Amino acid sequence: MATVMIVDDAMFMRKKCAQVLSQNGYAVVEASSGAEALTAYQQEKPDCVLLDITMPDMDGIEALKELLKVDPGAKVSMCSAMGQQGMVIEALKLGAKDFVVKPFDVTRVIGAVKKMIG
Amino acid sequence: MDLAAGITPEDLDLFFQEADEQLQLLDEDIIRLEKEANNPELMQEIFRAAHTLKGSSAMVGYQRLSDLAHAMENVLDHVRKNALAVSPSVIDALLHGLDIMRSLRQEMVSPDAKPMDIADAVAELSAFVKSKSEPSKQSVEQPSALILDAEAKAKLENAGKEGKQAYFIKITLDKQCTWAAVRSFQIINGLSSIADIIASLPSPQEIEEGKSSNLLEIVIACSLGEEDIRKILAEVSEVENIEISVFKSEKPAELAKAAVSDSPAPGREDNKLSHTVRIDVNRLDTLMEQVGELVINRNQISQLGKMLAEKYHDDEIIITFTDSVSQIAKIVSTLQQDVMSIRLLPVEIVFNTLPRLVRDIARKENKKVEFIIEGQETEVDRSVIEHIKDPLIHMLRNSVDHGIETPEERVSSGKPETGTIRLSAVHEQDNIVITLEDDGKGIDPEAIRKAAIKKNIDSAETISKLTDSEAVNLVFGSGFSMAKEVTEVSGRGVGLDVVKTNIEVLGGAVSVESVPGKGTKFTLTLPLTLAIIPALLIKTGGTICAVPLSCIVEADKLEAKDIQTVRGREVSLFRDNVLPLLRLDEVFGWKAVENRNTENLHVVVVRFSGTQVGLVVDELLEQQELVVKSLDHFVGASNGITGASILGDGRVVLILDVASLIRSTISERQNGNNKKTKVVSSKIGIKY
Repeated sequence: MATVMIVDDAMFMRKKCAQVLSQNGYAVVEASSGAEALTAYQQEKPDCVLLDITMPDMDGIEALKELLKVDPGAKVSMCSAMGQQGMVIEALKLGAKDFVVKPFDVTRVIGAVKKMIG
Repeated sequence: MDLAAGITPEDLDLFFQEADEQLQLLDEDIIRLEKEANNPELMQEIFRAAHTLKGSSAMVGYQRLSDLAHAMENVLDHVRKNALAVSPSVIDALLHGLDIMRSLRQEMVSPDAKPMDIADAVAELSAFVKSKSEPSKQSVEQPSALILDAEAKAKLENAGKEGKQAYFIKITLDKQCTWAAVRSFQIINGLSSIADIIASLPSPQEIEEGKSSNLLEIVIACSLGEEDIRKILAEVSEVENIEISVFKSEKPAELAKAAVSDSPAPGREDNKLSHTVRIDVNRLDTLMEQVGELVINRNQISQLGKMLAEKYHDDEIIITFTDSVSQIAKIVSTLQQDVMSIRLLPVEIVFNTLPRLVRDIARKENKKVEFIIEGQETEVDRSVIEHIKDPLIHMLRNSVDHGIETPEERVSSGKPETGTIRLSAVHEQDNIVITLEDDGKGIDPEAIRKAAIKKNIDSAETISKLTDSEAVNLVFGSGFSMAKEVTEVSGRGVGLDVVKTNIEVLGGAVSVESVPGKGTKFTLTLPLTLAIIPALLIKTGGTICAVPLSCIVEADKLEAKDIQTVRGREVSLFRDNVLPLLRLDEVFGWKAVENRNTENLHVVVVRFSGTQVGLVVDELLEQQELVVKSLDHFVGASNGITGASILGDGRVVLILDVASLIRSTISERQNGNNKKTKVVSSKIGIKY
C-alpha cells in the first residue's frame, strides 16, 4: 500500500484529504507544519507528498526545499489556493512534481497522487 | 445551503470546529492589528486565518463564505505588502466582514435562515483594494502557428550535432484546467529535464507571465525516445491529449539514463507528530462521571476497610486488604485529579472575546481605552468557564461606560488621555481570582449612599452608618444601577446585582474596591470546579444533608435558650447581630424524630448575597468532598436543593441550595409574612 503524506496547517483540509485518500486505499501520514513534515517524511518515508503552500513558520516553498535536501527524489505535489500561480511556478522550478488548486475535487487529488506514484 | 458532493456530517463538524477557531482568531487578531500595525507575524497569522477559511468553506461548497473570506484576504494581502495602511476604517471593514462571516456560519446550522447578502461587505472591503484582474481568467488565444526564429534554429542545429532527435509535441489541456499557464509551465519544466526546449507556443516567457492557452505546442530535441517523453508528460495532471511526432530526422543517439539514486535514510528522530488530541466534550463529561462513581466507591471501600480493621485488629488478611485499599484510594485520587485537569480550560477562551467588546463600546462612546489582559493561561473547569462570560461582559461594559472618563475629562483631571482597563486571572489555592481594574473616575461612596437611600435599599440610618467600602459594595444590591442616565451600553435596568447572583450561584464571591478619582477594582473569586465540591455534612431530624463549604461562614453550638422569637420568627444573637434562624426539618417538612435532643443544637451560619442565615441542625458530622449529581432528571428543579451525592457508606445526601434558601427567607420577610418560616412548600426528603 502506497503511503501519502498530507501537509497542511488547516485541519479540515488535511482531514478531508486524508479521508479521501484512505478511502481510495492509500495509507496516509498527516503533518500540520513544515517542520512536522520533515520529521514525518524521514520516519515514514511516504511515496509522495501533498504540500500546502500557505503555512505558518515554514511555508510550503521552504518545506519543499528542505524535503528535497533530505530526499532529492521526493515526489511532491503542491496544494495551492487561487492567486498563488507565482508560488506554484517557483515550486515547480524547485522540483515539485505537480500541483492541485484548491478547492479541489476528490478525483483531482487522487489523480495527482496516482501520477506521482506512477 | 447545498453542500459540495462527498461532504458528510462528520466533515461538517470538523469544518465548523476549525472555522470557529479561525473566526475567533480573526476577532482577536484584527483588534490587535489596530494597535500593532507593524507586527508582521500578527499580519501573517490573520492572513492565514482568512486564507484557511476561504479554502475550507469552498471545499464544503459554501461559496458566499469563501468569497467574503477571499475579499478579506485581498485587503489583508495589501496590508501585508504595505500597499495599504491600517486605518480605523480598514479595521472597521475587516470587523464588519468578520461579523457577516459569523452570521454566514450561523446560517449553515439554521436551515430556515434568510440567506445573508455579502455584497455590501465585499464592496466595503474591495474599496480598499485597487482593482486588479485575475490573470488566470485571461481569454484563451488560439495560436496561429509555431514558427522557429533564428535563435531556435541555432539551438536545433546544435542539438542535431549532439545527436539529439527533434520532436513536435502538441498538448491539449483539460477544459476544466484551472491554471493553463502554470500547467504549461509544468510541462515545459518537466520536458527540460530530458530535452532541450527549442521553441513553444505560447513561448516560455509568455507562459511565465501568465499567458494561457489550452493548446500548447512545443518543439524539443532530446536523446530519448517518444516513450520516455510520454512518460514525463504522463506525470502532468489535467492533460487531455498528447500528440508527438518527429520534427526533423537526425541520427539517434545513445541513451543516457540518469539513475535517480535513493537518498540514504537520515537518522530517525523521535519527535512526536502531534502533541494534542481533540475529544468530544460529552465524552469528557462521561469520563468525569465515571471517575465520580469511582470516588464514591473508593469512599465506600475505605470505610469498609476501616470497619473491618476495627473488628479484626490483627488479622493479616485484613491488614493486607487495608493496605491495598489505601493504595487504590491514592490511585483514584490521582486519577480524579488528572481527569479534572483534562477538563480545565484556559480562561483565555472567554477573555479573548472581550477586546472586541471594549473596542466597540469605547468607539461608540468616544473614549480611549487600553485593554490589558493578564493571566489568560490560568485554567479553570469547563463548568465554571461557561458561567463567567456574562458577568465579565457586564462588568466590562460598566467599566468602559461608567468608569473610564472621556479623553477631555481625563486630561483636565491630570490623567493620561487613554484610560486603562486591566483584566487578570490567577490561581489562589482552590480558587481562581479574576480582577478587573480601571483607572477611571471610581465610585463615590457618598453618591452611592444617597442613591441607596433614595431607592429604599435599606433604612437611611443603616445606610449612613456604612463604611465607605461597605457603601461601595452596595452597587451589587438588587435594582441598583450606577448610571446617571440610561445609555445604550449599560444602564438598562440590569445592574451589578445580576453579576453578583451569577457568581454566587457558582459558589463564588464578588467584591469591589474603589478610590474616587483614581479607579475601581472588581474581584471575582470562583471555585475551580463545580463537579466536585467540599461540603459539611449535617444531620437534622434524622436526615443527613450537605452544605457547600463555600457558603458557610461558621458553625457553632446553639443552645435552645439562645433562640428567641421576634415577630413570630426564630432568631438568635450571633456576634452582636440578629441572625434569622431556619430549621431545615420544617423547611422541607421532614417529620420530627422521637427522642431527639432539642437542647444542644448546632447552628451553621451560611451567607449568600450579603445576607446571613443560621441553619439550625441537630448534629455536625464531617467534611467531605462530594461528587455533585444533578437531580433535575428525576424530580425537576427543586427549591432549596441543588443536587445529591452518594456517601462512602452508600447513603444518598441532598446538597442544600443555600442561595435559594436565603432568597426565600428574604422574600418572605419582605412580604411581611408573620407565619413561622416555611420556605419551601414542596416536600423533599430521603428516609432511611
